[in-house]
Amino acid sequence: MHSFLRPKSVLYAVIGILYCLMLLVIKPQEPAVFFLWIVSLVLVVVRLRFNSMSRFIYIDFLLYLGLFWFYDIALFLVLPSMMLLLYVGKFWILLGYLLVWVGFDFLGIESLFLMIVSIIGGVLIYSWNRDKLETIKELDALRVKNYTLEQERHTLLDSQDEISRMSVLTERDRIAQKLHDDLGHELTGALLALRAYEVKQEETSFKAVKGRLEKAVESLKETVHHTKPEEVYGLERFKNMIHSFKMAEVNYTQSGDVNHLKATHWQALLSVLKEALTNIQKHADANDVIITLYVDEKIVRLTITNDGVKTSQHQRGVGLHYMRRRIESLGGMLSINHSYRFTLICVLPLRLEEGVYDENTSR
Amino acid sequence: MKTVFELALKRILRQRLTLVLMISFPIVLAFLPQPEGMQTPTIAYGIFGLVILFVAFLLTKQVIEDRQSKTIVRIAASPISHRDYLVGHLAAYMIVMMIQLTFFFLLSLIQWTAPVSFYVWAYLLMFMFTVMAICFSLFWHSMFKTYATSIAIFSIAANLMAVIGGMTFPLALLPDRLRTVAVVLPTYWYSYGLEQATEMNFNYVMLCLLILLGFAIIFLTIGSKRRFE
Repeated sequence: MHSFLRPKSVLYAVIGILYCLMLLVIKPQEPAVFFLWIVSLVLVVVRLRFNSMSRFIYIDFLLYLGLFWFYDIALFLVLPSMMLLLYVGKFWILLGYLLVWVGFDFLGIESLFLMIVSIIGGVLIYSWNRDKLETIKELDALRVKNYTLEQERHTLLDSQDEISRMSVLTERDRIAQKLHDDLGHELTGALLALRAYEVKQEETSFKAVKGRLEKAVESLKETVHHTKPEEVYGLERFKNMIHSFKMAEVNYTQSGDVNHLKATHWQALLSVLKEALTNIQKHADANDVIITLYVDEKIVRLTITNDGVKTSQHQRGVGLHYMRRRIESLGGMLSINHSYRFTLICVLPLRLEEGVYDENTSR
Repeated sequence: MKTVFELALKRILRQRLTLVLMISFPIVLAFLPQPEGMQTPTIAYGIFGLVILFVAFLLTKQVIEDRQSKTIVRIAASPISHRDYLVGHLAAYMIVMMIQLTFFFLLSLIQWTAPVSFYVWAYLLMFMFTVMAICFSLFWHSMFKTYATSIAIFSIAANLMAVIGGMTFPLALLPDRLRTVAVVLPTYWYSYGLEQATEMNFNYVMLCLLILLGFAIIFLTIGSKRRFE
């Protein structure tokens, strides 16, 4: 039904009704009268078929004006053409028609009725069509905006991955430099002293080797101590986030080897966990929350379920929406189930999508 | 366009049953007995109008069959424009139907004696009615997806049009209320034209010709819109 109810379809229907009503008013049994009726119908049908509502329509009006000197019914026959002009927004025609109608002393109640039908029909359908076109224009602008934002999102995600890659490379370079500068010198010195001891077997050489090795161990301890990040990440951060949630009782279970998970996995899982716990805190009056992290050879699955209040309408939060997009961009899936308990399931492949930085394979 | 025209003619010549009906019906109608005292064979001409309607419908079935078999989609992808496709087909149908109506006209000349002016105007009316019938059939087929549905409903519609339009019996016998409705049918103006040709009111016959032309333009304008299904 919706696809048939377009302004143009209604215009066709109203013009059809107008022609039928005209037949009741004029005397169509007279061949000349019916001929004029059919000429009017031909002109309108050709315009509608070829979408030229107002092109050269002034010729039609001149024709009707000429005919009006001989046949009063020309005043009726011009009404559909007038409707076409009203449909395209040329309202000045109303003034001309009213002048002729009043000037020639209007033809009675039937002409008034037909005129009202055509004017109201034309104006209403014009307004409807104009509103529809404006709505379509707005929708198109929104689609363009949405597309642009999608492009920007992709660019930002790519930039994020690139930054992540560069950060790791920079850090590796720093660690390599520190090891080379501190540890490398000491171990090289120790090796030389050991070779000297092998040749001369002097106690001074032995003490030099021992001293160098002690310094190397100290340097190694210091490097490891300074390089190890103070901020927790990965599984530790994941568990800290769960333990810091006090709004409900949280049961956490984990299975599989989480060492297979990369920084990108943890970043995504932490985001999902944070969003889910925030939503539970804000919207659900939950008593218990069950969190399960499962890792196997192919996938990692995070399941968060709670016994919170069910709402009658499922409201998709903006946060979960963007979370879903992020997970899907990594080749994963995020689904929500309301049937028994509110359940959120996030599945990510262990082998990430192409373009996503994997620090274990990059050089 | 010439290729399309030749193809349409060949396809018409393959419709043997239609060709047999096209030849046999004029012969049958030519020997139709007229009421005594009737100087002009208006009843035979009137019924021949119904024959024209059905023959035009049978000939134009190629258009709907092309649409059903998706040939129209392949033609749309070819260098042949839709206009050439339509003109080629309609020209072929027109030529075949002109042969039929000329054949009936000659038979009626031999069989009946009526004023020459009647024959001239009646021929023009038949010609214009043929044009209208072909355009009407094109329009009718454009409203349906399959030929079977089209012919099923057309059989009823054409007979109703013929009865209400006064093709099968004189217009004077038509009730006034029905006459008010009948004016929107092209069959009415064909019968009315024949009646006026009998009464030698040639101005009215001219108007009837123009009205039939108007109907033809309307049906052709609507029916010529390209549809792929």
